Amino acid sequence: MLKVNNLHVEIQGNEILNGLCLSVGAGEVHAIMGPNGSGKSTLANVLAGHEDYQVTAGEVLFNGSNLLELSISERACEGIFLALQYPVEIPGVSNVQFLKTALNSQRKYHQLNELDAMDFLQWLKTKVQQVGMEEQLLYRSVNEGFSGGEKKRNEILQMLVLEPKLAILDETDSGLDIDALKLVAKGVNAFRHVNTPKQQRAIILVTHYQRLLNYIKPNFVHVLLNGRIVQSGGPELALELEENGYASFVDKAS
Amino acid sequence: MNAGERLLKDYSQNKARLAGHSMPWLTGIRECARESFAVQGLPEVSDEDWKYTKLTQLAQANYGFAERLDSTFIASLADNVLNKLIFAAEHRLVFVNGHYNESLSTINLLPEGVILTSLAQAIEEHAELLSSTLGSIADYATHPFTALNTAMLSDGVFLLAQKNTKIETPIHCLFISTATEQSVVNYPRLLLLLDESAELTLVEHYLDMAQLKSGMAQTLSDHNFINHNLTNCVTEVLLSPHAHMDHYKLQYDSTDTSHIAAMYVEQQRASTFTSHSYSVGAALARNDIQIKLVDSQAECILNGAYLVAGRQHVDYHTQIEHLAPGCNSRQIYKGVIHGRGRAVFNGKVIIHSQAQQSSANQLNKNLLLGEKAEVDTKPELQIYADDVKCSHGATVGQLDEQALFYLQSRGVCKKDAQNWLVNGFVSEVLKLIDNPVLREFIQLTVIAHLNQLAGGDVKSLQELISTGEGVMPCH
Ligand SMILES: Nc1ncnc2c1ncn2[C@@H]1O[C@H](COP(=O)(O)OP(=O)(O)OP(=O)(O)O)[C@@H](O)[C@H]1O
Ligand SMILES: [Mg+2]
Repeated sequence: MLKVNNLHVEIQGNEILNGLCLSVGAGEVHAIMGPNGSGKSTLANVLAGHEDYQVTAGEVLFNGSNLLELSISERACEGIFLALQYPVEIPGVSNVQFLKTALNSQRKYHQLNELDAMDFLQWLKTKVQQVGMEEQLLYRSVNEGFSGGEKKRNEILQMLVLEPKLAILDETDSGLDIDALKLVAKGVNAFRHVNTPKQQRAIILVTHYQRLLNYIKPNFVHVLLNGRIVQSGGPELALELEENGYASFVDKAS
Repeated sequence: MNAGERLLKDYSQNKARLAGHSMPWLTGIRECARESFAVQGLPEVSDEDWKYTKLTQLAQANYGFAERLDSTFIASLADNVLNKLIFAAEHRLVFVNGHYNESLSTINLLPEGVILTSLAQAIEEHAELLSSTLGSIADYATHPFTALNTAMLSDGVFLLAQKNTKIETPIHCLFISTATEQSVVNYPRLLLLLDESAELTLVEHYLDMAQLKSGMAQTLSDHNFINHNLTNCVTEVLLSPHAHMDHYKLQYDSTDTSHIAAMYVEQQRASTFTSHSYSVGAALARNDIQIKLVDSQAECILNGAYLVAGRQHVDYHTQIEHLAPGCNSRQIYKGVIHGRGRAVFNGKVIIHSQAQQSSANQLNKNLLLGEKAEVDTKPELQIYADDVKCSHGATVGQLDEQALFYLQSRGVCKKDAQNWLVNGFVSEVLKLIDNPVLREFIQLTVIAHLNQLAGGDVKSLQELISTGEGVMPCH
């Protein structure tokens, strides 16, 4: 589904990613771990099309076509979703309007008819329950004054509403309480397990904690260090990292 | 002959056509005001209050007296405007090019103790009342346009709400301007008197047919001001103890016109006044709002937004004087400036020495969307008392890049994402409108206009009203 080859990315002249390779197949869950500042969010943002980052070399293919030439919104419509590490507050734009506009923009892109307010709300409410979000948060401005955990739930709600093909969750687990973590994991798992193989969804989980991986079982775990992936393995790699930290990789890298 | 002299000539030629031209009390007021205008002349940029607002176009125009329109045209206004483009109102006074039009107006049953008429009629019927109140609050000595309006006043609105009267639904004062062969000038005048504990809501609405007819799709850039009309309006408000008034102003003139308005409010003990002012159209719009809190516990809240593009110019000058202890004032104004638009905001608050325990705050936020857009914002606090709470803030910024990214990353295209952020910015003021009917109407007007300015999907106001689309829920 996603193929990243030799990706080099700069921000304001500083190279953050240098030669990153990653391949994610349909239906797979990949966990990416790595120390602060190693470039995890950079990777996530570049995939979503953030314009602050310049790709200086390499390629990214999404379902066979060049992702890098698509605009931010086209990528979203093609099925890329990024749950932000720090969700943005948008004063004056109501959450429910935001969700409806986003969904209808994507439906329009796929030449589907737009949902009317009634249908949309009905359907939205089931999703809201799934992530255990207070319904009143729908009527507040997007993320404005939301608690850290509420913002993260809101990201997952957006994912459930937009049903992307590839969801990139950037530290969605941080800031969630124990119950919320379970709920969010449940939501993600429900999202992940769709029956028809054609619709199989992939997930990239950026996290610092092994705990999340108890609830969402990854197929692969990668260690990102200094802008490239230095080690890949199965779920046991996460346990090992939890034990020993990144010291051994830092040594190897230097 | 300069513009000021031309306007005076217009006065001497037409004074015999003004309402009450043979009433000495009124001609006395007019003559004094005329004198004052002749002395003051039109403001120049050297005048501190007009530093950023040039009157070049206005000074070049040659204005004539606005004539009454024939009945077929009036009938078409009823069809095209009142039935389609306006919210439902129980009490509506309609003016066409400054003249009250009875057939377009409706005044339903009002509570006993309320007088609501056109000013022209009030001059005939309530001369005694008017002679002691008209011009007593609107001080023209330092404001030439108020002097000019006072010299030329002839029609407008007179409202008196006696003690304890309450009018439940908004009174809609609609000033329609139509295309005219020659440049014309209108001088609407509103005199609003609320006795003790009276309560009401009044909407002052300026609507230009030219702005509507173009389907709101006209390009705002490169105008060559062919027919440059002027509306010079003055509103006087007196709030007796415990009276309460919600005042709305919606200025939606065409980009050919100048709109120069001043509102003067005197607030007595524990009265409350809320102003919601939206300035959308006009080549040049100037709004002076002057509030005097003359007795204790009075409160005023001023909210507003201005949206300009092309070469439009908007200027808000607010002045709140705290003259007694324990009064409150709050202001929030937001501006969206596209293209080469220019906005001026000057918020003056004067806390006199006797006005202890005053609380005053003021906020002005501006979004600059055009590379050549400009804003001059200036809070001006003069505080002569020591026990006061005052704050002020002014910001000028662009759209939040991270928020733009966020919206787009959910599938919303860039243009729509920008629109949403701008709408969101303005909606923080819009949601302060309590009255749901007015909130929806003003929101639609603003959204339609913003969409147009952004060059996005142009939906006419009419279309938006019929579908209710674009209404942001406010909670
Ligand atoms: N907008 C920016 N301007 C300047 N430097 C940036 C910017 N964004 C990221 N960087 C730098 O790029 C490096 C990688 O940042 P990134 O956010 O990708 O790290 P991360 O792996 O997600 O870290 P964390 O675990 O703390 O979230 C950091 O050194 C960071 O300071
Ligand atoms: Mg990060």
